[in-house]
Amino acid sequence: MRKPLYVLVVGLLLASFLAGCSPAPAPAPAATSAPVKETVVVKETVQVSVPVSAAEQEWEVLNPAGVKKVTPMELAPRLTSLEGKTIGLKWNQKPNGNIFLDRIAELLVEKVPGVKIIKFYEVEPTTVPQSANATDAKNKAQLIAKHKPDIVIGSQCD
Amino acid sequence: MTVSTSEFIGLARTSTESFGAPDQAFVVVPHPLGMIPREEVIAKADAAFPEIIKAATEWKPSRTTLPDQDKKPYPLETIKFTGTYADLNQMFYDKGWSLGLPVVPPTREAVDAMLKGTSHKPDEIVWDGVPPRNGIVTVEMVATLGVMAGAKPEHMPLLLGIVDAMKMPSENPEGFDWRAQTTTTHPTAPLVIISGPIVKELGVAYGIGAMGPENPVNLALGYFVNLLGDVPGGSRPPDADKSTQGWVGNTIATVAGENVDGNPWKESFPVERGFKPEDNVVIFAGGGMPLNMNDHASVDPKDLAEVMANTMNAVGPSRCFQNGGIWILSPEHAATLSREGWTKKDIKEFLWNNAKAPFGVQPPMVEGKCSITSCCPPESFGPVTPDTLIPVCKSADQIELIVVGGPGKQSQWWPFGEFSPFPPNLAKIDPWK
Repeated sequence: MRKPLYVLVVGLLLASFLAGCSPAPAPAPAATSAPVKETVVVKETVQVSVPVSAAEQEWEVLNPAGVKKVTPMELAPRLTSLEGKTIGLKWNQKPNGNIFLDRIAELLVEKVPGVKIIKFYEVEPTTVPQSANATDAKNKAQLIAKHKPDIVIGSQCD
Repeated sequence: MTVSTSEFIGLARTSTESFGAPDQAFVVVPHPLGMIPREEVIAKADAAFPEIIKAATEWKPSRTTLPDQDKKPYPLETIKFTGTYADLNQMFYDKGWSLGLPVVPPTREAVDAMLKGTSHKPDEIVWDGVPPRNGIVTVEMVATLGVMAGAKPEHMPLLLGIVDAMKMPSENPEGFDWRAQTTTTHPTAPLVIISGPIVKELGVAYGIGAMGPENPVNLALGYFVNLLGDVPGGSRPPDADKSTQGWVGNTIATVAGENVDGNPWKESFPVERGFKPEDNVVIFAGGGMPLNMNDHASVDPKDLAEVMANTMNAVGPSRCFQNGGIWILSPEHAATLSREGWTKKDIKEFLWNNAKAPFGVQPPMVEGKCSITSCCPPESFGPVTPDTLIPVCKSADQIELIVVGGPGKQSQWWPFGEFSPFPPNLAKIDPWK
């Protein structure tokens, strides 16, 4: 007998669930008892038996996760050097993310020749608050793209 | 390129995939960045800088296509499994197909029986991507999740109406859609109110204990809502659902019926919005954990409304100039509020004018910058001092009143903060019969 206590507990829970959460009947069914069948009435015309067994059985069930919607997105060309490039910095209003990006901007100017920095949280402040929805996010991306940065570095939470 | 703290990199990768990018350049810094002194932030930036340069110039995507690309959403895959009922439940949980509670096995036979509860075809797509995973929802999937949750075929129009309301973009262009709610650290969870004759027809609890009922219909609907959000939607901890602590509403959503009999203003919430009294309607919102108001003493409506206002101005959950919320009023509190002829509009105006907290006790700005949790009144509000009283939401229209529950002097304030679709989404149920 496998996992007898678990079988008993889950069996009781399910029996209670199917019975409309009324108190479980006593005495409790043993883990090895015969399969229980509860009947579901469909508009008083269709009856379906839902098999519930404490013993091993063959199951055929549907995968409830289904498939994901995939809208492929093309990645921007990769850079091999940052020299002379325009680098955008995107802050999402999470505390200290702007301080982090300000420091990255200082280091880039100090260490990378000819680099141009655009702090979108200063130049395009409406890009700062979190996007409310997909349309809002696209609008913000378009505002950023208008400045033609070669790369954008965003700071995430938290 | 995205810089993420170590605790949020899983969500960042999930989001990248759900937006359609096979991969993205990430740089991971040790968590946290927020709520630490400036010098620690600078030290983390200095340490990350070499990795940022490397990611900007050397990174290559690890893959060029995504899982599920070109797969069809119908029919759902059939799984063969040998084991006990307990083993089956364990398998479902391990695969991310359940939330840890037992499910009714979605056999083909049981799902086909559920499908008889609607005239809609099983291959109809009713939501083309539940965030954050973007799982595609068909009528067949609704029936499958409904079986798992313990719903019955006659509930199918309700289940489909709920999906219809959940997927709606907010009417408010600044209102957040479903994605933000499913991934935030905030303990947000759905609030579903069913209104119309169907409440009594199907036995949806609307009286005593309706918001947390031992009622199989409400429980099945609430379990369905979270199965939908967590299985096709993929909003499971620890990576996509980042709830710091969460609450039980993240597992079984709160579902209740509107108590129209106990509503002294007579018009149901949907009727206020232009629906007909005979319409069956799902009201869908979402928000943080509710705050209870316990007032057994007020006789004058103004006294009760003052207690309500002082419940709303709790700066932890409500903060300033946020999206308001919904009062779930008990019939007795509603009766007190209406005693001297106050309309819902009168009450909303009173609450808007009185639910205020001093600027000085609100979450602060960070080095003078408005951060995501700061209280940042709009410029039109004018200058503020620590004593300036700041309203909890932007207007009286952002405060809603719905009557639910049985006898007693308890009501609930559901503050919506910044992560909820507001105003609530309303969807008709009858077209799904």
